[in-house]
Amino acid sequence: MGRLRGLMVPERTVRVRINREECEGPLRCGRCLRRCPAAVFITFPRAREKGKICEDWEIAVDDTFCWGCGLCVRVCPRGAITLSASEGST
Amino acid sequence: MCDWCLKHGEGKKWYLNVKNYSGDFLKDKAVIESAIKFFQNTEIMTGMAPPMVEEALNLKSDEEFSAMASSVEEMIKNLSPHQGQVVPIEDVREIIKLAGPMARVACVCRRMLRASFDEKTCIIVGPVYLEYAKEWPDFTRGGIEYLSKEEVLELMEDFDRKGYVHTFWKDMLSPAVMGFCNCEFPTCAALRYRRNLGDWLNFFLRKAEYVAMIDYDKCTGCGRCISRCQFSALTLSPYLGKAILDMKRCAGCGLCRNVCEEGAIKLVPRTEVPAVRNLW
Repeated sequence: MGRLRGLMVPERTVRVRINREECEGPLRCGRCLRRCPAAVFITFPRAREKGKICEDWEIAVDDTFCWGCGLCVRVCPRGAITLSASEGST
Repeated sequence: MCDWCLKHGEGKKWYLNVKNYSGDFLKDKAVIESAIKFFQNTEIMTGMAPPMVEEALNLKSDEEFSAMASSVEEMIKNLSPHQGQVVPIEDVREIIKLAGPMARVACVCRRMLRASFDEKTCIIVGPVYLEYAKEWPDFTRGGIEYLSKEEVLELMEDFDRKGYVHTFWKDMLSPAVMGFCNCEFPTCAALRYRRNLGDWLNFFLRKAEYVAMIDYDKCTGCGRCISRCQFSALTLSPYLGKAILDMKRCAGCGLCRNVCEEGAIKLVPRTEVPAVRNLW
């Protein structure tokens, strides 16, 4: 934990990167989201309009919460996820 | 209890004041705008819009971070001092008695963190939020299921047995009620920030009006309660052979108490315990 002005933030020790060109998308696949024990993957609709359902969802990673187990790398059917040590921490 | 609670609770807990369930909120433009803003920007409102998170993490220097911290502090000041609060099952029963129409929808957090619309643990409580949710099919994706009071109570008791923490939420700006969530770590925006970031973001989810207390003479160290705690407040002490409770971490949800066969755990009002009376 780092502490700045009373706000606590976990130290980022690992980087999780998704190759978006390979990724099938969270709604069609979503294996990483469903399996991650720390639930670091986040998905959200790209646009939201009243009265409409959005089918185009973006995927992102909040890797400060990552514990580094590597399960996501193994469950990704396209090998789109890589895990590496964080270069320089907060 | 904070000033906000005193004002909107009128001597009671805010969620037991019948005025906060009033249909009059439907005539209040500001409340309706706030509800629509929530449906439009659910991810930002729950603090889980990834661009926001990424931005905060990529700040390199202390100056940048301090600037971000003060803008967050400033933003928090403009919101009411709490959005949600943990409620034990006995208060859930009281809330259901007061509540108007209710419906369950797919969990707001699990859809973002698990890409799943199957876990329908969010129960929207009318009038405002239920009325306007209908206009946002993206929000009610997975279906909206209207329930009677009896059905909601049965459902909440099921969630209790399953080990989900009950939380009760309100509108961002006004005291208008929003609904129940049934949360777990880490698949809940509120619980993950409580546990991962410490207590500085506590305005988002306040602890319950209660805190658990263990009668250590009665505890046999069976460990059932430990697996129930979503706030990592309970530990089994091998030396004492008993469950020990960090009351400063305890959010007062009562899940541990509900499985204690010895009746060793009880919930006491937070304000009566000097060590934690100011920890919300």
